[in-house]
Amino acid sequence: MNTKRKKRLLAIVLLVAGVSIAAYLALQSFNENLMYFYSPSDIKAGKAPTNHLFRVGGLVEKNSLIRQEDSLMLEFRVTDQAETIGVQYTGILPDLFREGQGIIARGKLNKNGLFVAEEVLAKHDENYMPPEVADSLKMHNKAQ
Amino acid sequence: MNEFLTMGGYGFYIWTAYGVSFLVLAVDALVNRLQQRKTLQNLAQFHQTQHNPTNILDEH
Amino acid sequence: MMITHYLHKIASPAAFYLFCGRCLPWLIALFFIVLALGLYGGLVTAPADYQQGDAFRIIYVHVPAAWMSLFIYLVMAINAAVALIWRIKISEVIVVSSAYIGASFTFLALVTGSLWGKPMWGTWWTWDARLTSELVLLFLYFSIIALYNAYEDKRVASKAISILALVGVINIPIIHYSVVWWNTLHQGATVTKLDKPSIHIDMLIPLLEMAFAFNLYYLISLMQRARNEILKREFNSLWVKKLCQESSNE
Repeated sequence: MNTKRKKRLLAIVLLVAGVSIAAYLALQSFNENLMYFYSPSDIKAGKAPTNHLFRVGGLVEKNSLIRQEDSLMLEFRVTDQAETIGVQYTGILPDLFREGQGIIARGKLNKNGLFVAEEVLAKHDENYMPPEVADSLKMHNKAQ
Repeated sequence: MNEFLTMGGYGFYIWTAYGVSFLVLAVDALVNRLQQRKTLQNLAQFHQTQHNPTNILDEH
Repeated sequence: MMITHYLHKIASPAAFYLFCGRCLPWLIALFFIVLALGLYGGLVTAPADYQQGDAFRIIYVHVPAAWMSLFIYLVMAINAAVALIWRIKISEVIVVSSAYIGASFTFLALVTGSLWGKPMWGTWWTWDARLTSELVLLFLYFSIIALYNAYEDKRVASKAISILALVGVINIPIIHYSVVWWNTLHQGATVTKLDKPSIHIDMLIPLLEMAFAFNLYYLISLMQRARNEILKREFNSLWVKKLCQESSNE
C-alpha cells in the first residue's frame, strides 16, 4: 500500500472511531430515555419517575387477573420474580395477553401504589415452536 | 382453502405484509428495467449522432 | 497473485458489465425457485406457533427483510471504504446501487414489523430502541440517495456518499444489540444468537429459504442497477460504443 492509500485508510479508521465514540457518549447520556420500561423492582426501589407517564414491564402473575363483570376494567399483578406490582386497566387487551405472559403497561402510579395503565402491550419471547412441541416441553419440565 | 386465507383470523395482517413485500420488490424490478432501457436508448442516440456529449445522459 | 490478477480483471467496468449480464438470467431463475420453496414452506408446511398462531408467519418476510437491511448496509460501508482508499470504480458503483434496494428492505422490515406488532403486541409502532434505530437506518439510506443525486459529478457524489455511509455504519451494531443493551418491546435474537437457534426446525428451514431468496434478489437488483450506472458513467468509452453498435446491428 502506498502512503497516499495508507493516509486515506487512517482517515477512515479515525472517522469511524470518532463517530463511534460520539455515539457511545450520546447514548450514555440518553440511557434513561432509552429504557423502554421499568421492572417492578425498579419501581419499588424508587427509580421510576413520579411526575410523568412511564412503562412497567414484567410477567402477568398466575391467577392474578380479575375482570369486572359490567365493564372492561380489569386488574392483574405484574411480577419480575422479585417484586410485584398491581396494575389496573380499562380496555381491550392484545391477543397475546395471558397469565404468565410478558407485558408492558404504560401509565402512572396512583396514591395507593397501584399502577393505572392507559395502554397494555404484550411482549413475546424469541422462541417459536409448534403447540405440540410446547406441550411436550412443558410436560418434560414438570416431570423433572 | 378458506382456512388458508383467513390464517386463524390474522389473514389481513399476513396478506398485507406479503403483498407489500412483493409489491415493493416488483416496483424495484420495474424501475431497474425502465432505467436500463432509457440508458440504452440515450446511448444509442448518442453514438449515432456523436455530437453534444453533455446533457445527453442526464438522469431526469 | 492469480487472485489479484483476476480481481483486477473483473473490477474493470467492461468485464463487470458483461459478467453481471451473464449471471443475471441464472440468478433470476434461482430466485424464483427458492422464493417458491420459501413461500410454500412458510405459508403452508410450517406449523402455527404455540403462542402466536398463524400471525407468526409474518416472520418469513419480516426477518429476512430486516437482515437484508443490515447486510446491505455493511456491503455498502465496506465498498465505501474500498472506494475511498483504492478509488475502485466498481466499488463506487456498488455503494450507490445498493442504497435503493437497501432502503426498500428497510422500509419492508418496518412495515411488516408494524403489521406483526399490531395483532401481537397491541400496537403498530412504539419508540423502543430497536424500532427507532431501524427507522434511523431508513433515513440514512434516504440521505445517501439524496446526497448522491445532489451532485452533478458522479465521482464526487460517490466520495460524498461513501463518507456518509461510513459515518452511519455505527448504527448497525446499535440496531443489532439494541435488544440486549436496553429494555425494549422487541424480543431478542432468535437465529443469530450463539447457542442453538430457539426456533423449531420446521419453522427455521422456510426462514432460511426466504432469507436466501431475498439475498438473491439483492444480488439481482444490485447487478441491474450497477450495469445501468456503469453504462452511464462510461458512455463515451470504446467498449460501450461497440456494445451500442452491436445492439443496433441486431
